[in-house]
Amino acid sequence: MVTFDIFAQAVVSGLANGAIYALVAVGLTLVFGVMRIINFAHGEFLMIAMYAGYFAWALAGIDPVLAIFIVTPLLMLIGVLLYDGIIRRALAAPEINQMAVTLGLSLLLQNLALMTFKGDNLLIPLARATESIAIGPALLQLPQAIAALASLLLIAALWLVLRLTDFGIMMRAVAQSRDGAVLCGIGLGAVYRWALCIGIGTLGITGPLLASTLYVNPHVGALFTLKAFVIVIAGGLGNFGGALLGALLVGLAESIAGAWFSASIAAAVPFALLIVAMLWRPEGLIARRVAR
Amino acid sequence: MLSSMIRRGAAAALMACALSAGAALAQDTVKIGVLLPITGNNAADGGRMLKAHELAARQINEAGGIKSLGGAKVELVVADIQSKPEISRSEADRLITRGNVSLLMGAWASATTIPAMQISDRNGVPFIVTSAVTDSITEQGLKNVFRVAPKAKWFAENVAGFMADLNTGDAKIRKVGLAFEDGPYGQSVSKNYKETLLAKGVFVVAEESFKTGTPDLSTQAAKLKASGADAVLIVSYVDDEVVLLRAMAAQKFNPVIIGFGGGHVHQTLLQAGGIAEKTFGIVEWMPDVAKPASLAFVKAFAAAFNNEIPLSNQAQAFSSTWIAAMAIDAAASRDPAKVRDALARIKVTDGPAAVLPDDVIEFDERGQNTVGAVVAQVIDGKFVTVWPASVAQQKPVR
Repeated sequence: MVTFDIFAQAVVSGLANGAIYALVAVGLTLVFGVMRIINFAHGEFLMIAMYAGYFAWALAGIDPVLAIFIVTPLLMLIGVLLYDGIIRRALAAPEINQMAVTLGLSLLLQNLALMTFKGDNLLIPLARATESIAIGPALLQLPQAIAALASLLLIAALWLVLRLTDFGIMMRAVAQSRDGAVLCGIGLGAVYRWALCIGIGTLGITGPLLASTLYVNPHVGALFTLKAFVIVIAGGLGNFGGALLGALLVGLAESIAGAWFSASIAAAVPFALLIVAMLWRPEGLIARRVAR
Repeated sequence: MLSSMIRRGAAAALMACALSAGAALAQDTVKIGVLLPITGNNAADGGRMLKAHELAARQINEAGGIKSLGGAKVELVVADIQSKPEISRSEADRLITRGNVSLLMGAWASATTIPAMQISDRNGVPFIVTSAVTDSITEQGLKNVFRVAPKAKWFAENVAGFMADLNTGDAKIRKVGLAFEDGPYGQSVSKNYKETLLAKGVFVVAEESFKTGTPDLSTQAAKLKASGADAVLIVSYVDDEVVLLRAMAAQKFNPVIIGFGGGHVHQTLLQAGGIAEKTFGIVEWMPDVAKPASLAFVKAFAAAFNNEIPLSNQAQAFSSTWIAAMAIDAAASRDPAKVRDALARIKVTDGPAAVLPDDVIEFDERGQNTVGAVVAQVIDGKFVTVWPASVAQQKPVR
């Protein structure tokens, strides 16, 4: 029943969606790789970035692509405040307490957003939201194409920073061995602060771009949190290349399942993939760890 | 000294007066029980409906109360069902055994209405179902249950009727695609759609279900386009509908769109701009329904509640309260059994109760009011009632 045209559409949309998922997951995997902390509130910081993108457009008429340059510094600042205000104090606590802290933060932020912005959906109606570019027989929505491109650029930039700069070497050293890094004279606090700053800061790019393809409401972050966790775990925790590969696989599998069966069945696909990945390669899809 | 004694005496006299007046008033009122979720998940909806009940009661009392009972005032006895079926049942029981009510109304959703109406029926107290739409409510042969709201399956028949009316000239709708969220809401409505449309000779050429919150529906839009559907019927929440409409527009696919209820007739859809333009939505009632009673209700509601525009459930609550008062008046009695018989015979063609789209409000032998939905179209960024012709503001635009 699936014609070639629809299959092509599923592949193109799936790859674009996968790149967008990677854009969400990359910050999560960085924070975990360096700090060994699972940030359950990641989706809520995405939600905040989406609201910031919405208000930049609604109040000042700033295009979401330009809003990135305002929202990213804002989210980086939030990352620093998150470290100094909460995470730093929880670092010495047992892992289960750290999870409770970020989970609690997630619920708190959702409910604060509900109180502040009410539950209604907000939209950024750009003219380009309904424009598309033709890739073979498939048509890709322009805002999604932009978000996918931004994702690839961001991941490449982060990879280069981690590979080529001293700062990147320090982060990788901490990721490899906390104690070893401290013995070499690396200040853990500064590296952790920067990891959260960048990890949350990446959402400053994701937020405005997603706000223009989707809608904004207090629970919108939760749509991505679970999928981002699947991607990060399947890709190997803390592994950039793995996260990108995992995200593209999830996006593609979802989309092809949606073409073959229905989008209802597609929604279960990421979790099925996770189980397969865990059984087949429990250490992650790419065993050689790039970020560590 | 003297003046203070006089003052005290006057105050005592006044109090005595007030007390006796209060006692007389309490004896005179006719009690109508109202079951609503004032707290819990559906508190916002319950609060909105209470406003409509109260507005109707105030109007009834200002117009002289129940005339056949010597101008007795209507008193609403409101019980909070906390959005929970078991509380709805116990509150209905309490109002019947201790509240001395002549009639009950409520109780928001089907899940909270069914237990309450069963208790009411067993105790021989008439129950007006205001807004619950589950088909079975008036299919169990309960003698004391009367429903103002339509049956869920009628929406499908209304949509089929609307499409038949659209089918003038060349642009005929022969093939439809269904796009629905995969929860109980989307599944039950789309199942009704499918059965009803097939029976009327309309082909259902595509069925695309999705989980609510799916961030991209491009592939689904491509499949709907490839199916060659002339119209796409969407049953979802408004956020998913925006995602789907954007994807269809990006796929250069412009069929007739018919959305469903509050998932379509929603402010969020209007924010979406051009893609919402000319889309249709089927809904129980619209504030611009062209009937004198309906327009008067909207005006009175805005005046009473800070320019608020009522929603369809509030029109149902308002109408139900007026119908209750009319039935008690016709029965000339507070006795639930007599009120029940009066309700079974009632026929409303005009007056304040006639806010709902159909010409007549009356209950069939199973207690069901025959009432249709209306179709609203987005025209110049506003929802406008375009069908049925009898209550439309203007003709549908294609």
